[in-house]
Amino acid sequence: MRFLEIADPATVKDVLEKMGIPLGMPKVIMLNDRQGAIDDEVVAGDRVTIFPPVGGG
Amino acid sequence: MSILKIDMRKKEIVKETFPKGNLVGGRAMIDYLMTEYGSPTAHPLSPEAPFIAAPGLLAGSRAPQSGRMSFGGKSPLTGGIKEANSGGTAGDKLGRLGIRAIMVQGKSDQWQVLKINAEGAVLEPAGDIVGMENYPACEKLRQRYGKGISVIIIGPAGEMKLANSTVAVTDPEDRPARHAGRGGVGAMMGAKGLKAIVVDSTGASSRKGADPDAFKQAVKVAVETIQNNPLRQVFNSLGTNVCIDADGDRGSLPTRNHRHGAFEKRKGLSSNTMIELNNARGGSMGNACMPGCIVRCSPIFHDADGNHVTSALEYETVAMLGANLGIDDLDSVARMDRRCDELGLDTIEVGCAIGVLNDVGLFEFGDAARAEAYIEEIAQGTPMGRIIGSGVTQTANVFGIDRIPAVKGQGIPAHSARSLKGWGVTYATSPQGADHTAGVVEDDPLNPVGQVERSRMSQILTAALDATGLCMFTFLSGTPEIIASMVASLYGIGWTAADFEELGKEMLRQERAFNRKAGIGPEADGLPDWMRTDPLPPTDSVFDVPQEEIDQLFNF
Repeated sequence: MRFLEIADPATVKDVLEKMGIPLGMPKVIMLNDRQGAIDDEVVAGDRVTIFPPVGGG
Repeated sequence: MSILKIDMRKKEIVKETFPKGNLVGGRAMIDYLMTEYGSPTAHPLSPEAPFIAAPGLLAGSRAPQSGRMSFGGKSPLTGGIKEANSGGTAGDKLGRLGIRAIMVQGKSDQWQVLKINAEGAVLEPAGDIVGMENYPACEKLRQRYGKGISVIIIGPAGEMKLANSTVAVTDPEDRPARHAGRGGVGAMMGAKGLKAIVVDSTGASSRKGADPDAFKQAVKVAVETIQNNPLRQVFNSLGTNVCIDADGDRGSLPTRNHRHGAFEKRKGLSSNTMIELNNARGGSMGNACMPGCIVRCSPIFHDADGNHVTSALEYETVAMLGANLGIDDLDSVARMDRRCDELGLDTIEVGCAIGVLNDVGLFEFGDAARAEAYIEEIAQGTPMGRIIGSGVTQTANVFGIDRIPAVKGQGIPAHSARSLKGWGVTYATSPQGADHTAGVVEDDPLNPVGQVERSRMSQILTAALDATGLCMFTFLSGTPEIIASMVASLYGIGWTAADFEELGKEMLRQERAFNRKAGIGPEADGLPDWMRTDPLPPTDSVFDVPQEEIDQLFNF
């Protein structure tokens, strides 16, 4: 886990850019305990988790 | 360990000791028994075609999430060898009882229930559960045989011997919500005159292993590895339905009869919508489908009044009965899932079959009421219902539809082949027909290069995994070494990751050999031609892995 300082307001996209994760790369995003999207707003204390794509069901 | 051989005509049960050193279970057991006893030319519903149920090698032990059960024989849907597996509580119980396989042959004129407990196995008349749907039938069986039983059962679709019919297994809440879905395994069981198998493991303890200390240690490593994998959190919190957004984002969510790879109304079907509805209505995410599960990926879904509608509302179901039919109403999808669970129908195949009806004006995308009504036609056994219940290929053939999303007669599931090309190779080549659990390939999805090699390795390892009874989500975090060490210490046999891989290869060889004798040769290893010419928006990709490369997949 890493702690990031980012602008306020910010989005998941800003977090990815700050971390150097390519935006076009397929991925699963979790924002706290929900599925996140690239344009979701993040606030101080939020947890953004990036996973590789998964399959199943 | 033993194998039960059941003659349904004579009502005879023979219990044979299974050779200790023969490390086959689950799907490998089906491959082995079909090679030994199955006739590739027999009609799948004839008395000569065996129906086989087999827990995996690790069943009944403390190995995490190892209770998946395989069902199979010769498929009425594909005409080839078939294995479909399911979670639920029965695999663990059969493992505790020391039963490696149940092979059912012949045919009974009256519907039977097979009762298995520590004292042995007997056939009894099925009585008043004949014709019943799965939930009420399981309730009746619990009244008859006691609350602690696990039930393996076919619904009306299996009784009608429809080519798209499942075998259901009860879950930890005693609901028949877990299904061995694909390839018509319900019809195979129904063709024997067998309505249900009830399993009571009272008095049987879990398997400690030939080398108990080594086994305990191997299990500890496996548990820690799964627990520490972050993907566990994704499935536990969001369910497999996480793929609605994930596959929608990358253009591989089948939408409107596989014509698009993204659904503009997917929000209604998403994991977040499911979580919000669950929180408001008393449903829940993160449920286990079997004892000893660490991942716990299953949702339990309630209606607006807070009443249980369905369990195990998985991505494949939501995608194929939702996006693929242009439907964004999760309540409707949940109701259809429940009806499919009651009747014993595979939701992927139903979604494919209703989807193609749009080509001939018999279904408007987004018409949830019509889709639900078609499933009721299957329940009533009307000619239209029986056609849809016979799978997408039969449905398309009856209505003169030439654009059929199927391989070897089996409907293509919900990870699009054109925009996930490695997965497409698996659909094209698996001896099981188009199957999303036969060999997952995620890497470099739009690039055709390297996909045959990836699919080959994935299919080999997945086949071996299907022999162990482990859930495929174990593999997201486990490695062949960890799995092999559990098998080795449980059986007291030197067995390594290389043996694990060799088992997978041998299984695929056996399956291919059976299929070839059944008239399904290498020429059947391809996706429908239109997937090579019709671009799939929004990526506008076609399936362009060269067929010459695909034809080399099984050269190992």
